[in-house]
Amino acid sequence: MVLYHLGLFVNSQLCSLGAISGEKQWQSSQLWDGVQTKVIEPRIKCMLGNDDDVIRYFSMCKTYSKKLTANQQNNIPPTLHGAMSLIAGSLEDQCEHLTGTTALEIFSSLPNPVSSFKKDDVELKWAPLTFWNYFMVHNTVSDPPLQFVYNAEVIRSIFFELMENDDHSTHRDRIQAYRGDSKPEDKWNDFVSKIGKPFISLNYLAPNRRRAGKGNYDYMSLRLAWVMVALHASIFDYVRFANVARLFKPPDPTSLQVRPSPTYRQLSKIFTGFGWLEHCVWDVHRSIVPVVHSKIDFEHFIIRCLHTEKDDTEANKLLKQSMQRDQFNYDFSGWLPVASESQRMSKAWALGQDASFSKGLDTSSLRDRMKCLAVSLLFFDIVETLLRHGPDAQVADPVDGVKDNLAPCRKCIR
Amino acid sequence: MDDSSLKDLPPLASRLKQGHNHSTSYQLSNNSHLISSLLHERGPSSHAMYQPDVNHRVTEEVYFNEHTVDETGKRQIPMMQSFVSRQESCMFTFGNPISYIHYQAHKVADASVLSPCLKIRTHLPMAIKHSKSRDGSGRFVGRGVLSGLKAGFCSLSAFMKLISLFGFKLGSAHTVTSNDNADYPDIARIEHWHSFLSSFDEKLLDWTTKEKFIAFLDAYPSLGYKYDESLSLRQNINVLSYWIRARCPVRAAIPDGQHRGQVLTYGLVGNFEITSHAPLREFGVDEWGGVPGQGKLLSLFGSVPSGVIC
Repeated sequence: MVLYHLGLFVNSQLCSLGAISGEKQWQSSQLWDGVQTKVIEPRIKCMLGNDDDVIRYFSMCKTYSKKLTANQQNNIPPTLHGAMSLIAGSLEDQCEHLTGTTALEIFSSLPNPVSSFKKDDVELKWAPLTFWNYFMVHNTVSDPPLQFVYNAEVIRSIFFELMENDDHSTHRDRIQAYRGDSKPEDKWNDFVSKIGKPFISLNYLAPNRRRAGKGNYDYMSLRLAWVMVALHASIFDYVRFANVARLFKPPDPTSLQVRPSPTYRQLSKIFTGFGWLEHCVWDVHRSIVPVVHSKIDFEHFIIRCLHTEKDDTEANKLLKQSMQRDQFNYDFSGWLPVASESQRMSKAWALGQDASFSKGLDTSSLRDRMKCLAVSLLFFDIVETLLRHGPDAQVADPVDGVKDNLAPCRKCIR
Repeated sequence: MDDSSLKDLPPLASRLKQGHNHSTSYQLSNNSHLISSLLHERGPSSHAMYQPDVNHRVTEEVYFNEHTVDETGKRQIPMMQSFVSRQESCMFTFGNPISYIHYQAHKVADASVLSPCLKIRTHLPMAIKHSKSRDGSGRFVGRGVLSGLKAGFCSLSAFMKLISLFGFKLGSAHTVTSNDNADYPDIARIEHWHSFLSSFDEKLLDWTTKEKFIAFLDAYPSLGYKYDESLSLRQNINVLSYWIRARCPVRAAIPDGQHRGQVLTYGLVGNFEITSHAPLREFGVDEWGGVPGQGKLLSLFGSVPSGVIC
């Protein structure tokens, strides 16, 4: 937050030093210079009032726009922000065209609940995930709902098609964090061959350095892994992926019009640097996810207990102890010890039941779906909170043996 | 308006036509972009600029203010710097003209059921007020969509309604004679647009002072717009843009040069302040700068009023 205000301060100082009348600037701007314009008309046979013709006409305009931009060698800049904007635009274009709908409203009520999906009988199309097609579908106990799988495959295919286009190879290298020390194609192919199954599962986990070190995610860089997390989250709401792209641009749009401030530009680079974002987004997400999981586990356990256990069981004693109504604490930090105990108890408790019930508890589709939803939306929430309020001035201390990416931030704060 | 008071539009100039594989175009180098800027659909009570999805490129507003580097490594100055500069090396549209298409906005009961291609929406995500925002902030970030309008071909009758505002009518010399005319029955062609946009006296398309703008209004009395002394010059231009769009359903969209077009339009109507050193404030799409004290954006996502179209 300090850095954010520092940027504003620098800007405001420059404003007061060099303000020139806006009216004069406006009068001398190129508004009045005879701008070169072109009126275009795609060659198409069309009828007035025919919507299909209109759609074709506008699509041709879009193609024209694309070709013209390519001819001008004025493509989307090969920056991380450019790459992420490219993905966001493609998701929005293709998903929206497939659906005719916009963002997810997971708990919006639908008039006709869908009791089940059968892949062979139902022609699946992209659709927003809702309470009915996400939570209320019982294809199998442990599998993700079919609509989720289908949407995930659409998201994945859009991403891969975009990245495998030769025009976007520089963007792909950016996302891959490729630095030229080995063949990027080999790394990419390895990644493509391994990401498929994990990606369409409900428990696609955010990788961290520890897991990467153990080889679970060694086929992709941390940056690419986080892009995949963002894509996975966008299965629920692809529109919000655009906010992830916004992370890689300066957070404050009040940069200068005529004379960019070197100080502000320097600060902007820090804000949008991966080390800073690792600290402000990825680390935060990694820290909260276990708590969210535990909370869901605990809530799930409570529901099971309330439905099946008698009052005098050990589980219910602890439960009642935890849930003294007037003292019940919803502080997140309080959930971890309670949840870890409840997890231990729930497993022991489940083993004492018959096999079918145990299966239902251990691989609860409801619980997995809830976790997947919560973790995905949590990710977007963290991103949007950062975009709205700016980064926290608290910067973690450097760790021995690890490159200190946050050193510039620490220096600025000092 | 009495038809007899209207003048014939200047003759069509077909020799200027440039053919490409899939499109035909006319190039102009005058200030007619001011007229097209007035025709951009903007929120009925906001600054946001809307158009059908005809431009492939979606980058964010940082583009306006940041230096960019193209793929050849050539450094490009920020678009706003180019816009306010008079240096020849920084010409705003140097080498790349801004492309326009003109379409017609039709009233519909509910645009949400339409194909996305027919929707009229913001090119960039924007922050708008939304009482049901997920985070309780009262804001929603995303593309704004006009709920009560859809885009279609610009009919000749709509085109005639527009030119009549400027005192013109189509004469017998305005029949398009190209071979593919039969492919566009009753649709306004680019020859018509070229003829209309070339018809303006360049001296009148200089609105840098109140007197010059009033001279423009006086030259086109059929517009019926009277300069409001209680408003600033740019607020008057802004109100004129709403005035014209309320009287004809013709709108402009930009397939190529969208960001430059936005800078032109926003600069023209006062969406942002142009100064040498003041920060460019966030695009205030939720503010109404036309008439002081007449409220903020009232519309909500999904229920944006459809605007006034006769």
